Amino acid sequence: MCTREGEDEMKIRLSVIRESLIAEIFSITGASFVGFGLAQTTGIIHSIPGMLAVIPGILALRGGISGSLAARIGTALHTGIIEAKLEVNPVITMNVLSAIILGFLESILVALIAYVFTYFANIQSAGLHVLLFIGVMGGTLAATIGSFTTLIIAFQVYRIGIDPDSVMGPIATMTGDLVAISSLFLAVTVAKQLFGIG
Amino acid sequence: MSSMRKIMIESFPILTVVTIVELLAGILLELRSETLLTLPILLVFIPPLNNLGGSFGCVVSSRISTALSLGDIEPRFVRNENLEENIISVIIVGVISSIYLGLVVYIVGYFTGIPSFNVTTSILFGIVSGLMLITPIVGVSVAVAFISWNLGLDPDNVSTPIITAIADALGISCIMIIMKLFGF
Repeated sequence: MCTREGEDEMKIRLSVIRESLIAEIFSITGASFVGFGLAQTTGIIHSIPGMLAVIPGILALRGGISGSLAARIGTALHTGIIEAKLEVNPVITMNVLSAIILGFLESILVALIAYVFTYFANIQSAGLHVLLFIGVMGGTLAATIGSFTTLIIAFQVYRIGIDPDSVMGPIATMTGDLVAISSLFLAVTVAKQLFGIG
Repeated sequence: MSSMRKIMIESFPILTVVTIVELLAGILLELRSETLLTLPILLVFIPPLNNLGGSFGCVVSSRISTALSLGDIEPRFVRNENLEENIISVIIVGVISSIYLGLVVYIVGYFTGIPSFNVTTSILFGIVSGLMLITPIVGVSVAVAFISWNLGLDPDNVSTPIITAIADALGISCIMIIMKLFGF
């Protein structure tokens, strides 16, 4: 009896480890591409002073927003409130809409606070309007694309019988990062054209 | 609609705190920007390390949140098989992930031609930074999940952003400390 329970426990532990480890490896691999992207864009970082200060803030929005969204969807799936189907459902709409609105509001905040910080830390910055434009465009775009991606992946994962709670944290942060860094650099490119920088 | 308001009301103040923590991490980066821009392999380390910490914490707290919702554990630090089982499993995952982190950054450097450390230093960098990061993260994630549960806040809305922010700030601090240790 004792060994039976021990075996069951071992099985559960192994399945948790396997599921989480696959997700971590996926996440670390994906993030190293983001890191490679960062390393390739040292030129852009140089040309927009204050950019390095904004990056963690914008990247964090994906954790705060896609991650929370993934966790809420996971709980809703487990408790049977929603089904793993992309449909116009009040719960799904509300979750995605909240994520996008939060992304927009927080992006404004990131840019504002980054500007104040760089101002007081005496770090050169590209100016409030540039940081605001890059933050809001990059952040909102990232939140919108990131939310839908998170939702779709969470459903797929659940459908193939993997517990979203075990894997969605890493997957949401990874896809969110890739989306955020791409959105950010798109925003920088547009900002450079618009404000004639660099 | 009322639950949308709940999500907003719970998330906004927390995300604001998170933003401030993240910007402190950003300023830290900005202050060492010269070293980081001349040794870009360090920039490659930052997102995967932050992801390792953040996603690691998210897995811990989501599992705890679900266990709390299902009534499998109580929001208190007492010996509990379910809680211990969860923690042991994720620590094993963390150790393997840290080794992998060092390896994958080395491989990225190797194939993209970014001047890199040798493979041993890279793996060592991964292990030291990974372990330095995940140890406090486990405690923080369990505590955050419990506190938000006790306060009646939905842990899903509260834990994740706080944990990722703490992970990012700790992750970047770890890199700064290790840069000093390794003499960059």
